[in-house]
Amino acid sequence: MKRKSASTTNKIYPIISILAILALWECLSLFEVVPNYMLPSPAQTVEAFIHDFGLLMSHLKVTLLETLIGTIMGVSIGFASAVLMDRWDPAYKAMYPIIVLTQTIPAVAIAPLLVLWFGYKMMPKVILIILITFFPIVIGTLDGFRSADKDAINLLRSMGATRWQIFRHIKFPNALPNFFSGLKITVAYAVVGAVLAEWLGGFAGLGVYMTRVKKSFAYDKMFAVIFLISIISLILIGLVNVLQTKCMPWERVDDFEEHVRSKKAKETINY
Amino acid sequence: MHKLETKNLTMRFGSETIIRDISIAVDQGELVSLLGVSGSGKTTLFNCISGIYKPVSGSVILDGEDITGTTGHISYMLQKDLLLPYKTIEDNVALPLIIRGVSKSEARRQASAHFEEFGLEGTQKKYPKQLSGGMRQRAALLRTYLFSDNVALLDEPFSALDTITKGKIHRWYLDVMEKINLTTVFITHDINEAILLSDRIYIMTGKPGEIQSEIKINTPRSQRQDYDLTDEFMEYKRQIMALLDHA
Repeated sequence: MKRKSASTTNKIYPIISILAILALWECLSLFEVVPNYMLPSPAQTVEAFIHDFGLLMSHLKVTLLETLIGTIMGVSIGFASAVLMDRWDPAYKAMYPIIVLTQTIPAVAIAPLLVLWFGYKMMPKVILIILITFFPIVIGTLDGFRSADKDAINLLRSMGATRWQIFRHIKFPNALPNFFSGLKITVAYAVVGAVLAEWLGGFAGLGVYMTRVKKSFAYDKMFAVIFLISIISLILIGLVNVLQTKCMPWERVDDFEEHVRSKKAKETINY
Repeated sequence: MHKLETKNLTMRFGSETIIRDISIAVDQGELVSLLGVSGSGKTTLFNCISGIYKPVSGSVILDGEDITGTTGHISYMLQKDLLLPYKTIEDNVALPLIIRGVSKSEARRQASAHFEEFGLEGTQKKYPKQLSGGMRQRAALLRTYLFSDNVALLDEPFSALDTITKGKIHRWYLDVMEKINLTTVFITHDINEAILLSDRIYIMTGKPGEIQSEIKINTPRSQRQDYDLTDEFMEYKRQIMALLDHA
């Protein structure tokens, strides 16, 4: 019970701070501190969002599809690379510097090139998302594989376990927390990556919508689409969280110590 | 024929010899301790017996068969319980069976048959972190037993527990050993523990580690209630301390 009330109080602070920012923003545009055409008020943003809802959703569909395909491919390639690099040391030595190097190239720089090489359709967007999502997954997962307890691996080895069994029972579950941390970063970046690639050239998608409203100086719509992108990113991170709790049920149970403290000691077998 | 025997085991890492010429023998159902200070190579000897290391010379004989440098015959347990945090207790203890290729449901069934014996009833669906330290060591011992009811190597299994829990688990341990009759080699640096739990004690000293002497505890294990308060116990302790001092 105690824990629950603590988490409710924890939620109050961010809610207050967000409301404060919204109030400040409303005041700034209401009293025309910043000219209204440059900074539409939250109310105007919501209005624009509702007005353009149908259009936004049709563009969103495209962006989400790109994000989905790109993320699935990026995550799969990242995971497979991590397995390969963990399994085979030459692969680790050869690939690691290159993987780090690819991350030093700004996405903004590579996106126009991708558009130039692969055209205005879905291809360059998906490739950009793969490049973005690949890194956090491969580094996180590999780290998880490598940080597996050596004694636990030895124990399984003493039982006569094969490399696959060691991977399946030790390395893989050990890497799950890192994998999910990577995935959380990844989904948020992926949406932004898709929008960026669309912005630089495309026929549909939220990025395309953004360039159009920008050209027509419809800043209320611009804010509406920013708002939508944030919401989508939050929802995706939320989905990853749900997936994580589903995949890692052991994280949900209380520690023995906590159990004793919360006076539920009866349930736990003790001496 | 001895159950387990090592013949002149020597292990070297680089130019440093860790253990030299170790010959010990353990009979069926016997509980033998290796007692020695830290750094006398006890754990290295264990790794050689369990097959994780291949000794430079010498051999490990189990049931008359040479198993030097091969794993999968002898189970071992460490101070760290090494229960996997993401598996329930039943899946943790059933792991050696699953590694051996037994199906998951069959492995669980076989494991569940021993939960009561080991005082673990009701913990099947719990995760390791929900159990106390003492309970976790029990589960680890059950896993060790399911791995091999042949011979178990226990490397300071109870040294991380507090004194009170340790006392309780010693009594429990003697009890459970009576029931399952497991042949055990037990590493410890705790003289009391060695006398209390063993049939015989090998004292390991020196660098490189060698077997210095062997002591037989005459009181049977089944008659060890409050044994650590008896004069006989003290006499053994005095004897062992003298041996360790002379080293």
